[in-house]
Amino acid sequence: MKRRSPSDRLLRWYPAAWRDRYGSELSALLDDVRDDEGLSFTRTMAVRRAGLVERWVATGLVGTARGDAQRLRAGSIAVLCAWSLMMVAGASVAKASEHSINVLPVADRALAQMSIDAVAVAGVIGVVAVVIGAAMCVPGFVTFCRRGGWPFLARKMTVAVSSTVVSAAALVGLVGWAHHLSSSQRNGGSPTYTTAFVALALVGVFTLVAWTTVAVAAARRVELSRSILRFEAALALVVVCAMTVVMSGTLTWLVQMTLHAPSFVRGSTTGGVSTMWAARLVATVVAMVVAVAAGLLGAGRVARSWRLVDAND
Amino acid sequence: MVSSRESSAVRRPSDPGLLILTSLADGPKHGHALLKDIETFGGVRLGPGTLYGAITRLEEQGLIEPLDAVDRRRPYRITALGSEQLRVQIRSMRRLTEVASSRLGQTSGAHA
Repeated sequence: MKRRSPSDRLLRWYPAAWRDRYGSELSALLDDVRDDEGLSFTRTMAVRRAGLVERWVATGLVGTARGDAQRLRAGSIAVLCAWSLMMVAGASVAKASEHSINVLPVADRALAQMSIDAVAVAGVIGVVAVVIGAAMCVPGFVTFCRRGGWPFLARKMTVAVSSTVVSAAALVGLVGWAHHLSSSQRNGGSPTYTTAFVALALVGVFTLVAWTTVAVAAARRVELSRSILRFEAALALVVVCAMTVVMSGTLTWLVQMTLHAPSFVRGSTTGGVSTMWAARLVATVVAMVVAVAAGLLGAGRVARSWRLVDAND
Repeated sequence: MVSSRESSAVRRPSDPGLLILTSLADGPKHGHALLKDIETFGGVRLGPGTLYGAITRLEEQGLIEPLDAVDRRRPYRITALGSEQLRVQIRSMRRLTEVASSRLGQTSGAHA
């Protein structure tokens, strides 16, 4: 087996298209510099960083090298990825808030209930926007596959479909099992059930990531008219608004629970703090903040490119 | 106390794109020759990653163009558009230099 040179290993940090064009000459330059003065750790780190920058530029998310339409597409894809992360965090909130309102004093329930309702409505709006966006891409996707694009997606699609089948089978099994358990067993009383539930959640997250990977791979390659691209971009802005509402609603709910039912947030009625529960709440909020930040990055890209795509029509 | 050493807050022009265009203004060069030349005339040690990032952008904007590679080393030359851009930058820097020189002259005159 051929062994890669240190220069070739550094080139792996660059995107494939960039390597095809510049890889050989950058590799020669790295060899020259190494012969001359040696490549310090700082220099190799700088090359890695430059490679990552090229990867970002290649996505169209940074820089002006890609065309306006490509930047619009990149912004929409960023929002789609952010939405997937938000779905995971949102599912965690949905599960955590399941019986939370009952814990609050009756007089303090209104705002928390309103927040959870707003999260649910925004979640539905986001899902509908993503589904419409996917439906708009179907004709382009079919054309892409007919023109020989299927091999690019086949492996990713196989993983996503297999993962979906496993998730569905596990979900059916878990629901069937849950019917034989009491409410307290379903809510932490049975360690075996809890472990199975967590495993199913992880498979669910994997499935979501797999489908997002398929969607991103397809969205980067499928040819879309400028009017459809603009429509997709408008849907992306709707999704970002929905994400912002989901995060705001979650934070409001969490604040209400902290103020009026601190034992719920601590995850313990005995005065202590459940580390697992606290970690889950923190991870959920962090995931939401990251998702909204990524969504806003994509929305900013969409908003800046929108006018240019209009003007260039 | 004011030192005569170069301050970190005020640096000489070190934009990689400008340095590459300046280096290519007297003829085509490949990556390693560019690094050496830029270090000689500009006192700036560009890294290979930075150099090729700038080369990528300059080529995309049509300011430089590649020539045939010799033993993996591909020389680049400045295009007409690149020369024009370099002239624009030189004019801009010259204006800055003139204003700075003139104001420094007035200041020292006022203190004299």
